[in-house]
Amino acid sequence: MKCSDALPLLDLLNDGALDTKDSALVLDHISKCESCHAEQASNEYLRAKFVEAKSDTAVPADLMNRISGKLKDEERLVRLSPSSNKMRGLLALAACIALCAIPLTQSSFKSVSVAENHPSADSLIENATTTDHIELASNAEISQKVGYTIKKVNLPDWQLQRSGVFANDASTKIARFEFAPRANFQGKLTCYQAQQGTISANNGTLITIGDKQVRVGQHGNYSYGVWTQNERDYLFVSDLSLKELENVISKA
Amino acid sequence: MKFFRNRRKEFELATSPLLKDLYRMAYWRLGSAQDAEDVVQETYLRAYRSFDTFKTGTNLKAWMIRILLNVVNDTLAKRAKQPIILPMDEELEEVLTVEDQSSSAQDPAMNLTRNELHPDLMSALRQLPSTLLQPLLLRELEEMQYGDIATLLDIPVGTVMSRLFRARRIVKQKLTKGGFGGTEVMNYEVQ
Repeated sequence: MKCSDALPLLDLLNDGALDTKDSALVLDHISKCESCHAEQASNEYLRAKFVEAKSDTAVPADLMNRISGKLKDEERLVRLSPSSNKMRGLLALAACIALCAIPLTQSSFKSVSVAENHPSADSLIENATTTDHIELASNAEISQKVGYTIKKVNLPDWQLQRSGVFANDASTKIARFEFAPRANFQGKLTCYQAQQGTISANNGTLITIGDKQVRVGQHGNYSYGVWTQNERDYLFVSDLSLKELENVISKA
Repeated sequence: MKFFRNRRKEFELATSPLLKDLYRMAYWRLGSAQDAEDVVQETYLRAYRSFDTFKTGTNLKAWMIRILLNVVNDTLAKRAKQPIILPMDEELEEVLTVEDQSSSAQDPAMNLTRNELHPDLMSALRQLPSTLLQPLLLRELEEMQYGDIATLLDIPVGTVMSRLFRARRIVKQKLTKGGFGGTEVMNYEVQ
């Protein structure tokens, strides 16, 4: 190997981008050639400088806290922004109250509920946004954890991200599955599955989707659909539009 | 993964381990701890705002670094439009004289400070135009593979290799010779 061949390969050698055979040839050349050996020594010197620089670059201790504070501010701003869905919903609600002067009771907001002594439907839907009361469990062990067999749901366009058991108290065990889209569209989907009679729907609109009688509605920024099928209650919650969610439910 | 209301926590959980990488990249790109902090904070804000566009399963670090480099470029472009007030400092005058010959002259953020880490290396890096500096930092500091650098910078792998070669050559010469300037080095910067 000549110097003109070896020199351009030194970088590749140092970056681990040369195959074994070429590496051996270059190393053999370096061992015999003084100028290439010197070039390689300067490469190693530079690499050592970067390693040192890298390890000496310390992140300011409170930087993450400051970033976290800014993100919280941003989160608050988005929530309070007149353009946010939540704010629009609140404004619409306020207008409704002002116009109708009808006192809204807490039960008016309940769209779906879990049987007595269990969390309200609002909590259950909003639970889709948190990890409160959730014990993570793999898909394989979840049936054992909830105490009933989990029925398979057909969601070809969605990929399971995480599963767990919602357990607000010892007697209510509901399986929860979180999905992300497989294809290039945005959205998130959380599916609850429970024994029949666990989740009941009081509000929303009852519609027929395929062979299912589904109570669908909007809760804040989320669409939901709840129905009973094959001795199981299902509750789907998503940031998709209601129409899109109905399409998902139709395939499920 | 946390959904909806916990989007912020989900984001922080996923991205906080990258803080060191991002800060390091910003520091060595800009040459200033304060600028690096500002850029990293802005990077996190921008990334949070567009976190919904991040595709699960793809390279989060590369996604964040791409945002960081955009923030750096925006910052430098904004500053380039602002008038620069030059302190009467002999050292800085010398630096600026050399900077005029390279693309780094367009980087007013790259101010040499007396407290900076490894001033010899920093000075050498300051001689590089951003087209050479970015791949070099991604390779040496972040240990990214050629293919990943190519994807991130949207250039062919062969270009990454040639830019790394040229960048290293310039930096090595600067480190071994010391001092600033030199037509030999500047010739390597011409593509």
